[in-house]
Amino acid sequence: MKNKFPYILEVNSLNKKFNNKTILSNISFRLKTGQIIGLTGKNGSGKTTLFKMISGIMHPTSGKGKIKGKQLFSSSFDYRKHLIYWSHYPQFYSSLTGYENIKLFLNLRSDFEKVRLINNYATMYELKNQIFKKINKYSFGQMQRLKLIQLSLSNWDLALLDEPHSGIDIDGKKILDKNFDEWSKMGKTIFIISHNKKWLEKNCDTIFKLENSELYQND
Amino acid sequence: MIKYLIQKEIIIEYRSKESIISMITFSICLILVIAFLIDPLSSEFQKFLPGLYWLVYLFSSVLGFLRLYSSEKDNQAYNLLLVSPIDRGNIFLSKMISIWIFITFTQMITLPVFSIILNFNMPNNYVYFILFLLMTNWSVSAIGTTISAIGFRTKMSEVLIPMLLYPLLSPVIISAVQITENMLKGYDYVNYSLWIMIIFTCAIFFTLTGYLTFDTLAEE
Repeated sequence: MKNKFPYILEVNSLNKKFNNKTILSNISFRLKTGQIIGLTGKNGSGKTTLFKMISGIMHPTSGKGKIKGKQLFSSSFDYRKHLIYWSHYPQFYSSLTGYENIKLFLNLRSDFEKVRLINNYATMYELKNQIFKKINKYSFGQMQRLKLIQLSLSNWDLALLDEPHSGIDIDGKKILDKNFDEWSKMGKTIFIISHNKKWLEKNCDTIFKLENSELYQND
Repeated sequence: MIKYLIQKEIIIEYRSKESIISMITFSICLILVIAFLIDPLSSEFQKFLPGLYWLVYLFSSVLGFLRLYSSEKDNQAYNLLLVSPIDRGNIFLSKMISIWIFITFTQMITLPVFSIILNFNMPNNYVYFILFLLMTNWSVSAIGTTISAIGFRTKMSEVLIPMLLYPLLSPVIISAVQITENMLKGYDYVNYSLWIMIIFTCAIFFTLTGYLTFDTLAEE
């Protein structure tokens, strides 16, 4: 069957300026559905800014985009159900438990029926003894595993992952990589920021590089 | 969606007790300072009670507004809300309703203290007085939540928020003082209906402004 959206994400002429300093200049790209795409570039090159703009946390200076045919950078919030953003910050409420954080996340995405599966996934990702503890008792690696539960439980089409491997132990990295393959086979698209060139070359279908505010593609 | 957000705010406050404890402690300290400064039994002092009553809540509620977004800064949890497929106006409403609950709770605890220590007699029509308190709290919460949303991302938030908040809260607090004075004297509603309208208009205006502009205010 022909895919209605061969490209999950299309971005055209995206620009971002901070106090007249150009961070991103005339960025245009398309992401094929079901691929794993890497994004690399020096510190401060605008990788995280690009992800924040796609996910709606930050507004671009100018530019257009579509995700699954829905307008990005618009006042509508409908498009955000298609994407998930894994920041390099934990993005959890420290006064809530791991379970409560995941439950809140799922409820806000209207994935109500998935709440009952949290415990199963906590066992699967070796957080069974930790899941009912407050986030301020978690190590950074455990929080990364908790994010993995978020990613596994919710419905999304495009995941924007900002250095997901950082802070995770070897077993966690293996689980993460295994999941990337499975999600990709399911038709989900994964867009990853990483500085690990070897990993990107081994696992990604396409690699983009941000340099001097512009985006370059290496297949 | 909004119920999950309010639930989150209440659980976080219940566990951290950051806002309520600081608001109650500050209010009681201020009441005690006033009681030691002036003789509460003198008739001259009684004239100033409505003003002092609202002054206590004006200052204590600012402590609540300074803390309103602190849980969002922690671990950048705010981004979790911003990326969620929800109307961002709901984030504003949940914050506003939560702080309204916290301010009202603070008043429930400190109003008896104020009454006993400063010899403040509740107006006879206390049902109307309570409804008026709830409406004033709503107005204060709407203004405070909007201003806190503007200021909390800035480095100078602890200076900026009170600086913007006090002038904007002034019409509400002046109206509240006038209404309280009229109620204490047992005057008819007609005498203070204009002041009620000012508070009600501020409540509606700032609730709508906050709700409609929060999408822009929330973005980095």
